[in-house]
Amino acid sequence: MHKFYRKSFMRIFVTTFLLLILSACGGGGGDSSSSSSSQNTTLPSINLAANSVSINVGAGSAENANTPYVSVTICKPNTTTCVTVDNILLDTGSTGLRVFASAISSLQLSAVTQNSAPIIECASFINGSAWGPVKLADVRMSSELASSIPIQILADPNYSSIPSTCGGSWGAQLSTTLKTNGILGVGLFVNDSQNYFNCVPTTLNNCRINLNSSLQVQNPVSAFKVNNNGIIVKLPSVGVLGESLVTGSLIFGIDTQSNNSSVGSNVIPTDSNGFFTTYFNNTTFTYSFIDSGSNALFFSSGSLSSVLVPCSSIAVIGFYCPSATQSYTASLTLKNNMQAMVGFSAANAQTLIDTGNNAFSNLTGQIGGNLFDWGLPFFYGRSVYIGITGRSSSAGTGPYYAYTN
Amino acid sequence: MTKSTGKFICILLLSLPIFAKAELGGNLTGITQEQKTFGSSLTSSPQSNYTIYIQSISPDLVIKEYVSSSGNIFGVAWKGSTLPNFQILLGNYYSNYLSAQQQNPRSVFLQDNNLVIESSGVMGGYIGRAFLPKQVPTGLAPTAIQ
Repeated sequence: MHKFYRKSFMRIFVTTFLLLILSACGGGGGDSSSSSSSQNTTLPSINLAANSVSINVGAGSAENANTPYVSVTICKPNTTTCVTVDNILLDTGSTGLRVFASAISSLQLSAVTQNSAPIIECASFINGSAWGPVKLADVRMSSELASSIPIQILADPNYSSIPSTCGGSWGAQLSTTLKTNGILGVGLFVNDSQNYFNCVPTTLNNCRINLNSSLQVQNPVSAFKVNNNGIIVKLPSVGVLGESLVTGSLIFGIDTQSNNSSVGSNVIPTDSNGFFTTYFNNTTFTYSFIDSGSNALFFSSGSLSSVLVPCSSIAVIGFYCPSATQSYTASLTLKNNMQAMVGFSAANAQTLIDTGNNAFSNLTGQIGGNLFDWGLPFFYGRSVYIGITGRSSSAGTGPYYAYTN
Repeated sequence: MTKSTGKFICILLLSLPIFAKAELGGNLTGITQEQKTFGSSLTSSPQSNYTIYIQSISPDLVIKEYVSSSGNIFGVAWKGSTLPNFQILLGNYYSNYLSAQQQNPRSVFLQDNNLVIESSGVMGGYIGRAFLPKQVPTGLAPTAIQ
């Protein structure tokens, strides 16, 4: 999500509350068919394999452009006491499942403890910190099960006082801006390597602990029995003025089943932090990454700054508003230092928002430094592979990205 | 100077946090305190007219602080799986970070004559820097602060 971290098109905070209310009404639990909202029933159905779930862009919060949503079933470990939570952000840019307490209020999940002290996490996202306890849950998607893994609970009423070391009263809490019921972090890593505490810190430096990686919040996919070496995100192409609703699929495993072959894909190995190199506009973007939780392609305009001007309207602040759509080509660094050319467009973000659509392949925005954030627009019309660190497939050993057009 | 005067000045310095904090715009005096706060290991890398102090924080975060020959911290940079505590690292400039964050939640991006802050990435790979352009010593390109 990072996230996350995440840029929304219009800042209509009412939506957040609406979603939370919906989820609070639906958390009856009891079986995996209970849903936190009824929105999924209106979606077009696609044929799904046992190792995949559907993704939708546009059926969740309409004010959140380019935000991919999935449903996740969360259960008390080794029981059939479950809640299916929809409107969960699919985030290849973070690690682990984070869900609002209100969405799973009917589940009595046990805390992860160390020396019998419950563990609390402060997770970092670019647009805010996430403070909350770590609990054990079974995480189910299609026929896959991550058994009794650590997840983070957001906006937990038992941990409502946020310590200074996690942002505190300064604001910048992710839970106050996130317009989803949670975040499914299924990126390059197994555990999230964030900051953990065994008490609520009263100063900036107490209670912080080094937590064994197996007790940290885990990428659920890494805990699946078979399809645990990565994922594929598959989204269709969208038109130049966007679409109101796009439906795709999240497939678990790489080269483990007939539907997840990596043969013929362009493989992009990354460093241990998940970065690779993009060349664009005579600039070397050393810190490039692919992130479904970023809702645009974010890069520094550099010498193109007179064309890729920042939008002036507050609703699209941070995005580019060129007077006419620009077409560009960038080069991505593949295995064995091969290069792959990738074309993309930058349309006027104000024009896009005015369409009222939700899914856009040509939404771009600014970011500092030599970073290139290949957000959700990169995913349209492609299958994007995320290879988990230390796990192997025919494409190689993670961390790596790969894609087919 | 008598011994007691020395003690008095020392106490005075400790009671004035602005002199004791190792943070952007602060000085080197408090870097060992900051090291304790972060629970980090500290190394330094002297250059011609400045020194880079490098803290490594478990499990995966590196913070560099650029210190002038007179002991002023004119730049900081970070890279790692998580973000540093900006309240500590940016000190008086933390509020600038927060307002820049609200301007563009996807990245923190602030550039003016007095202050530059750039922070982005995703969980597992965060990178950024902040510096005071007017205090960067001659011979050091601002782009080298990273």
